[in-house]
Order: sequence, then C-alpha cells, then structure tokens
Amino acid sequence: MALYSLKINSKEYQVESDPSTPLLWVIRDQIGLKGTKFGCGIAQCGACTIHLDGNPVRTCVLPVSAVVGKKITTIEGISKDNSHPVQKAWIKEQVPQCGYCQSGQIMSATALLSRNTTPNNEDINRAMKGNICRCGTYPRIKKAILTASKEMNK
Amino acid sequence: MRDVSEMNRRKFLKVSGITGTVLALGYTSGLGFNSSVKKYEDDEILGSNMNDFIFIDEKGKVTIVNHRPEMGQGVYQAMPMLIAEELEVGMEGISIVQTQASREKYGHQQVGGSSSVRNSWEPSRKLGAAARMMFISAACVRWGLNESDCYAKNGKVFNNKNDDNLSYGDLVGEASKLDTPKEPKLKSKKDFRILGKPLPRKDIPLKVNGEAVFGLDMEVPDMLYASVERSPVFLGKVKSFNKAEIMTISGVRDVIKTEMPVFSHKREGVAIVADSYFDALKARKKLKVEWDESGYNIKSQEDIFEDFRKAGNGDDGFVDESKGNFRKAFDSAIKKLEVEYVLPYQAHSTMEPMNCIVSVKDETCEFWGPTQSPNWIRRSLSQTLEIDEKNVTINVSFLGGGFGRRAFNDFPNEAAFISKQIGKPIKVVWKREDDTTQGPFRPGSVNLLKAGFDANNNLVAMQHKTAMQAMGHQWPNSDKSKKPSGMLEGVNVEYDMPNWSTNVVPVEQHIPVMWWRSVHASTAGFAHESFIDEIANELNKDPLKYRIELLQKEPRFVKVLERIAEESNWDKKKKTGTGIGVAIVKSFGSICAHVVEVERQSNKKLQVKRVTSVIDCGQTVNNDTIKAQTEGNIIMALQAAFKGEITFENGRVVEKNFDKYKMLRMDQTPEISVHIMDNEEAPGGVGEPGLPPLAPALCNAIFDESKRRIRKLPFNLDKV
Repeated sequence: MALYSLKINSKEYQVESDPSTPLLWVIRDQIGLKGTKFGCGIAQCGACTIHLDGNPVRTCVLPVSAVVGKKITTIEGISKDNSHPVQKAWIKEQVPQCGYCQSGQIMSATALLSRNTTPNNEDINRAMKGNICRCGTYPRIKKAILTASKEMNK
Repeated sequence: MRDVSEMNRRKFLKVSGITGTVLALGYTSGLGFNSSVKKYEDDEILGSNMNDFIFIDEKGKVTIVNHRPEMGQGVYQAMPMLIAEELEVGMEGISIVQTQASREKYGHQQVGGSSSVRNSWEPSRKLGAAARMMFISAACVRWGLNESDCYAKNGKVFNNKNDDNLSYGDLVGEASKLDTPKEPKLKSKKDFRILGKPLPRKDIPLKVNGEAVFGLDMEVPDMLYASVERSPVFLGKVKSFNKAEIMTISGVRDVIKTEMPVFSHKREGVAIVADSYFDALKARKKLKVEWDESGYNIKSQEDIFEDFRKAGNGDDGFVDESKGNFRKAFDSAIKKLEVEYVLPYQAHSTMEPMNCIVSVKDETCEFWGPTQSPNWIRRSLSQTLEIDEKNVTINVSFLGGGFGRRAFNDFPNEAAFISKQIGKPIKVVWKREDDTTQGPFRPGSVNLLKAGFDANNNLVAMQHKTAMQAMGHQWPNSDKSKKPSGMLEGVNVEYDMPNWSTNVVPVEQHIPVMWWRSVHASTAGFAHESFIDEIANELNKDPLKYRIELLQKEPRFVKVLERIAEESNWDKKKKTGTGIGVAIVKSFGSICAHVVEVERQSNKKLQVKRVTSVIDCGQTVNNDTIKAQTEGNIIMALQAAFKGEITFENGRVVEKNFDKYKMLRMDQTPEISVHIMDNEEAPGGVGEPGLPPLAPALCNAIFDESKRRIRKLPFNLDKV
C-alpha cells in the first residue's frame, strides 16, 4: 500500500492504494467518480477511457502508480454543464441509447478533436475504433463528431 | 438497515419538486385501468402509497413515472410521452421518475419482446386522457360552461366563449375531488402533437456527462463486494478450494461456495467476498478450485452441431405451421433444392457486465441494479428466500444494455444467496470473462431448407425445419411432448406458396439458452430469407420482385417492398464489383426490410457499403428512437454475421473477452438510412424487428456480387 496524490479534473485527491491497482478502480471506488466505466478489463472496449495529460488512455490496465504527477481528466471534468461542443453535439444528434459506453466514446472524441479539429472519415475511424458500442450508436457518434467539429471551427 | 421508504420519499420529493395539493392518478389494480384519484398531503404521497403514474401539483408541475426499465430502447421517454400526449402537456417541463417493482401498482413492467409501446399504448394514453378530462370538467364547473365548449392545450384549459384560461395548477384542488371518467376519450392521430415526433430523450443529457446511474455505479452503506469463480462447464461441481490461503489476503472477508439457479439446475461457484472490488479480483487470481466436471467436459462444437444435424435429418419434429401437403408435393417434385443453414451460439455482451446488489436481512430482501424483469425478480427472490413478496424491494437502475440477458433471474438469486450467508449487502460484479463464457446464450441451430419444383419450374413445395435447443424445455416440469412455441418466428408464413411447412426439432444440450435480441427470428430469418433468394435464383427472377409476387395478398408487406425499392434505388444500373440484396421479415408485430449494398475494394476485400431500411411499425411514439433502434439492430446483426461467435470445446466456451469474441466497430459501420412507414395501424415492436433481415440481405448482396452463397454464420468477410 502507498499514498498517492492524484490531480483529477483540477482537484487534488489523496488515496491509499496498492501500486498495481488499475486507475479505473481508484477513480470509481476510492474517489467515487462513477462516470468512467468498467467494460472488459483488457483495454479492448474503451469504456474506461480518460485523458492523461490530454491523451486518451484506458484506465483498466493503467496502474495508479504510473499516473503520479500527471493531469487526469475524466468525463466529469469535460464541462460543468454539458456545454462542451462534443457534449452539445451528442445531445443534438441524440447519440446515446443505453449510454454505458458513452463516457469512453466522448473522451476519445474530445481527445481527437483537441489534436485535429477537422478530422476526416479515416481520422474518425482510427480514433474511435477502440471504443465498442453494443447498442450500435456508431453512425450517430460519427455524425456528432462532425457536428462538433463544425461548431468548433466557427 | 436504514429506512428505505423514508429515503425513497425524500428522494422522490426532491426529484419531482412536488409541493402542496396534488392530483395523483394511477391504477388500483395494475394496468387494468381502474384508476382512483387521491388527494395527498406532502408526506403522504410516497412510500407504500406510491401507486400512481401522474402527479400534478398547484404550480402545474407534472411528474410522470416510467414503470419500465430503460436499457437504451427509449422507454424512459416513450412511456411518459404516451401519457403526456393525452394529458395535453409538453415533454420539456415534465419530471420523470423510475419506479420500483410492483405488479399491483404498475402491472406488467418487464422489458423485452419489443412490447412496451404495444402494451402501454392504450392504458397509458387512457390515463393521460382521464386526467385531461378531469381538468376540463373542473374548469367547466368554474366557468359554468359545457364540456363541449372547453378544450385543453399545453397544461391549460381554454374555452370557445372567451379569452379566459385556467392552468392545471389552478384547477388541481377541484379536479382532485372529481370521479375519474369511466371511458376516457383518446385523441386521433391527426391531432397528435408529440406522438410520432422525433423528440429529444430526457435521459440523454445524463448520459453525456457521467451522471446516469447504472447498476455497476450503485452503492449502499455497509456493502461488501463479491467476485465469483463459477464452474467453467455448465454443471461442474465444487470439490475443494484453497480457502485458508485466500483468507490471508488483505481485504478478503470470506470465501464461500455459491450456487446460482439456471433453469432446472444450479451453477456452482466460489465467491470471494472483500472490502473492495479490486481486492476481490486480486484474491480471485490466487483462488484454486478443484472441479468435478464428470461428463460435462466432453462436448465440443462439432459434437453439438452434429447432434442438431442428425436430429433434423432423422425426424420431422413438430410442425409449427403448414399449408397443403409438403411431403407429397416434395416427393413428386421434378427438381429439388435441399440445403443446410447453420448459425452459431451468440452472447449478449452488454457493455455493462452482469452485476447487482442484494441485501438479505431478517425477513426482508432489497435489490438494486439493472434488470429487465422487476416483477419476476421480485417473485423469484421471494420464492427462493421464502419471504413475503411484500418485503422484497426491487430498485431498478439504468441498464447498460439488456438484449434479453438481463431479463433472467440467475444473477439476482446468486447475489441473494451470498448476502444471506454473509449477512451484509453484497455487490456481485461479473468479470467480462464470466459474462462472455457463462451464458445463457442465443441458441445455435441447423436449419434444413427444402424446395421442390415441377416440370415447368414452378415452386410446388417448401419446408423450413430447424433443429436446436428449445428455451422452454430447460425449465423443470416442462412438457417436452408439446411443441415449443414461437421457434420459427421470423419465417414469413405470409408468402403465398402451395404445400409448405415449418418444423421444429428440439434437441437438448447442457448449454443454457435465453432470449437474445430478436430471439428465434435472428436465426430463422437468416435461413428463410436467404432461401427465398435461392428459390428466386432457380426461377431466374429478381429477388425483390419475386417477393412482391409471393406477397400479393399482403398489402403491408408489398408497400414496404415498394418503398424500399424506391429508397434504395433497387433498379439502378449495377456497377461491377458491387452487389445488392434484400430481405424482409415480420417479427414482434412489425415488418422490416433491409437492402444491403456491398462493394469490392481496391484491396480485393468486400465492404458493406450501405444499408437502406424500411420499417412498418404502425403508429409511432418517438420516430427518432425508431431510427436509432433500427440502426443499432443493423450493427448487432452485422457482428453476428461476420465478426464473432461463441464456440465450445470440452464443454466450455472458448471466447472469453472482446479480443476473441469480436464486436463490430466504427471502421466497419456502413452508411445507414431508415425510413418509417406512415399509417394508422396498431403499434408494432421496434426494439428487435430490425435485426433478423440484415444477415440474409447481406448474404443475398454477396451472392449478387460474387455468386457465392453463404449458408453458415459467421463468415469471414475478408475471405469472400
């Protein structure tokens, strides 16, 4: 067990954890931020995606000891009030069905748009193919990314 | 245990912002439509008296309950829309509250079978209409006018005589004293303001910021976590396990043998109970269980499907439906076409793995989590634990996908078993590997299709026989001498053919099987609609036009086919390297057709380019939801067609996680357009009908492009 100081959504949290504990469980069960989801445990589905220093990473296989000193953003930190262009686009295009995978989808999409505000079809496929949606919202996710991109380039 | 009804009360008040006098309407006996109006004081509204559907207070604030679990299919929005339409209020200002399980208060609450709108269409609308009529009556009394001079709009009552209006809030006191109308008058379709419109769903804002609470997110005080290592073969028994060693691991509270009821059997396992989920997972890695697999570890994929093949070829089984005399006509046919279609087992793979919290204490039991069957679970837990159903509370969260898997009573009972032993609330979370390998599954099948032609190449006989497990035969005391029903759903018996029969040959296996999205239509539909194309090919006819020919007596089918021909530009000139295919399936009360277009890429691989869909589901609630559900069905069907399957080796499932059980991803998603037929027919289902026609339309398109007929799923799209 060790003490870790984590910077999540611009707040400092102190947690006591086994160094090998995946960040996913620290975020969800120790800190109580439930928006980041458990889907597969082997980084195949993307439900656990957060931003580490702005880059999308899968927290189900990322040990807490590896994130010390880094800036963590979870779905709760994207905006205070659904005002991020990606969230607005997700609502406009009515993307979610069951919604379980959507935190991870949004984290991957926002990461894509932060490094490329005008992604083409291949860029989107490449950035998003790590996120599974069993409800099949892919067409709407793609449409929402293009909608957000248009909004961000106004 | 803290006072849950007090908690529900405060939570309900907070969620709904209810104040002052309230008009509350509901049903006195489930959804049998005997509503009684109650006038409540603030603190009387809730807890055990909360048997109502609509609450309207002095400020005109409307709260509507959603009695059905929300699993992405949109009932959270659609159920209240049915009430709101007749109540003449807009959806924007409404609060929606998810209810607990209560058959006596809410009637049928199970979701599955694409039945929510169909079942609630009339009763929910009658409820909204009753409230509207009571407000109108109250206004008429105040104004001294006739009811025919008054009408309601946007939460207010207006009249034809002057500019006066009264809001529902103003009228609540008087309205709540009136008797409920015996025959509430329903609006006609031409007057609908919200039904049939693509309204934004009220649960969606919660699902883009992490606020929506799923089962896996729920926590209750004093809760412990459990991870269960279950028998890898269906009926293995626990012989021994290294309890002493595991108990030394930090965070572990107990290690116990468990059992989980699965139809007529119990699946055994060993549960590690710990302070945190990760503690339980860590300890489970060190758990060593000795299993007695006697006899259950021998069956493999080939054995299972050979069983189906042998049974199907050896027996005509039960005749499901028939016309004329297939046997006679087929035996005397000049030309015969006999083929076999094979489909595998599939897993549901909801993105949220199975999980729930159950707390068993004294003579009470409380459940929190994602379930499609609130009342079945309530009854089942009551029976298993031998406690009064009144003392079993079922709290339903948002479901991270259902598809039929979460309708089952297995995982809640296992959690209850553990909680009873441990004496604390227990949260059981399945690993993805548990979820993928333990089922229940969509059953695999061998379908034997036969067609006979006469000397003039006319079709004179057709048979579709399916050999597979029968879900109903898994229950104790099931009568296996009776035909299991519904197993050829997805076969259009409307095709006008002489001498046909559909047959089912039930075959038993030690594999638990359950409803999967579109159930039997997902397998029967593939075999049948592919075979119709094979027949069309024999007759040298265009497959779409041939279907129209066979469906002359079925105008709704014909209209769907004509519409899809138009929307997909079916008759357009064909480019080389492309293929186009069609399929139409009636299931769950709706007719859905897909046209799939495939295109060969420069790297020689086939791509699924475009899917055009037409769905006739009668009168509609939320048209955007219908499109979304159909898009989702297409994507799930594509996965089952060419991405993944569940296979067996030595009695256990081979594919454990998404690395081997592959899902469709964004980069293989085609363009999709969905068109909804507009008519005044009774509502049909929407959650499932879009799945069955996809695989056959795809394989028909592939045949069009390459002349290769695919009869076994899944196939390798890259190798076609």
